[in-house]
Amino acid sequence: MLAMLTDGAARWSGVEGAPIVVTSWRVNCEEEDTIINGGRFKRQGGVEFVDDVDAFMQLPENAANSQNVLKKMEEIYSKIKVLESNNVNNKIRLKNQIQELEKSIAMIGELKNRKAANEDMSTHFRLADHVFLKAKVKPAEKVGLWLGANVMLEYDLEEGDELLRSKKTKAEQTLKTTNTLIDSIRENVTTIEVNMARVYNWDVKRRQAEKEKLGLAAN
Amino acid sequence: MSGNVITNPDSDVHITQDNQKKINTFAVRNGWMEELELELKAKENDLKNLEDAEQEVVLMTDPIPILVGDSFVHFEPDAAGEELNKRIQLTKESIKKLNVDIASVKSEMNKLKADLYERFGDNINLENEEA
Repeated sequence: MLAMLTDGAARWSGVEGAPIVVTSWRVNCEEEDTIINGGRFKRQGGVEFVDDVDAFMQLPENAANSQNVLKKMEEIYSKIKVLESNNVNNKIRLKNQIQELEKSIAMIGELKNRKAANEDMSTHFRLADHVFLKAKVKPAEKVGLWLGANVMLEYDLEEGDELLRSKKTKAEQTLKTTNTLIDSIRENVTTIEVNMARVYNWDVKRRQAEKEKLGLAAN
Repeated sequence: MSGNVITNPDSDVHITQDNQKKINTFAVRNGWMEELELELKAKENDLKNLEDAEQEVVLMTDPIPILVGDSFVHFEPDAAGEELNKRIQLTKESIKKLNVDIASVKSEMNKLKADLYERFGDNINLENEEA
């Protein structure tokens, strides 16, 4: 699972810039699915809603043993939580990526402005993280774009702009998919939280009933 | 987060599939809300800084370095004012959009909240735990 994610992250910055994140989630999901299929909590990797707790607890595999059922549920719960945090990490990464692209697009926009006005651009440009150097930039025709994997290519301003914009659109689409994913994972988290609370309550009730019975018998 | 949906351990109120769906939707919307509010806060902060900068720029006569991407580009005072104004307008637009989104999510959440409290009363807690 982690291997897939790293793979996705590495390919993300690749020359084609293809967003792999969604694919890697699908792999995760299938993996989760096979695990979850072992219990009664399947449904496309999702958590099954328990309608009638009493009937649910009487199922042969549950055998009215709330300890075991809760343990099983907790296992699934923590797996879904891992899935959630993986996707939240993806989301943070995508948001950063979009922000970086926006910065580059802004700079190319300024270069285009200066070119149109045939005006030198006086700058303090970033030489290293905390080092700035004053420079005059003549109206530029071309700009070098870092494509990842230690490759830089020179583009016309217009072309470079387009490339960055299409990368940004792609990243935004992937972010949208990731958001939808996170939402559906959260629905599952909530469902299983409620399931756990109800099984717990069922057990409390059962014990109380037993105690009362004992009390009556003693009288 | 979903962590705020807590059912009271003493309750044995029956939960239907439909109730569960509403609880789930509420939890998801709550996540949206948190994110939207963070974004709004950040944008409002941006706006304040931009407006402060715009006021300062009026007094300047020398070229003014403004951050474009990762580098500072020097703008003549007039152009700097324009650039800042452009950014202010863009930020105001995003704030407006965020407020519309927040209002619509909020009204959806309030409706769900009313439904769920009506159904479960004290047996459900849908409030955010304030620190």
